[in-house]
Amino acid sequence: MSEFALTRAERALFEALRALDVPCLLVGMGAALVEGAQGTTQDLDLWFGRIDSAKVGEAARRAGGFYTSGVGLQPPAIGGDGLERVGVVLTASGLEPFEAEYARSREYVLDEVRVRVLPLERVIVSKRAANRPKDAAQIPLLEAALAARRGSGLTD
Amino acid sequence: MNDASNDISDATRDLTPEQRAWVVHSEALWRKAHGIASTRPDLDVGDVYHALRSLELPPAERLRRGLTRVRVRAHPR
Repeated sequence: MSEFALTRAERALFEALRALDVPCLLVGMGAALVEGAQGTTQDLDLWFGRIDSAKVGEAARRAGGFYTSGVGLQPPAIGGDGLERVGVVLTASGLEPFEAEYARSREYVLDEVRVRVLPLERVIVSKRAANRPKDAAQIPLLEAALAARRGSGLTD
Repeated sequence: MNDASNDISDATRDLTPEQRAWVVHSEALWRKAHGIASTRPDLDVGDVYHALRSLELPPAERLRRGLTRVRVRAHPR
């Protein structure tokens, strides 16, 4: 278990976002994995309640990358070496406003950086609302993990 | 000694203490998984077992295992 889960740039980005007081939540399958679900993902999706371009750009710069607010079909994105897995999420299906979800989120220390994570039960709500084929395929594993958490006294 | 203890004793007779401990612990998790799944027929008991195993890992390790099963995209988004 000597390998880091996060790249150096991802760790730097999370640290910078926190230092710059930019609220964001790890959502989607990345959140589900942290909460104990089995599965895979290519992305670390970060949900921002609103984008402060200056601050997010500065955080990306500190991580050795950049931020673009999007152009043409390119949505807002954080790019750069080691940041390829980071996805910028601006709207989340089926969830309450960002502030409400942030208030009920859980904080984890991942590779020595603090990250706010959407609880598994809310990931399931979001995936059910999104109703994409890939989400539907993941739900049985997420439900099993939620039952395991509850059976272990880890979830309300 | 109940039936389950006898079964484990038989099944682990030739194992090292470490291997035996793993089997005993794993059996306990399977028992817990069956208990959880018994009230949820929509759940696969194996999925619950693996989730219980995952919950024993540090959160970063859970994430690492899920992320490293796939390749990083070749293009930024």
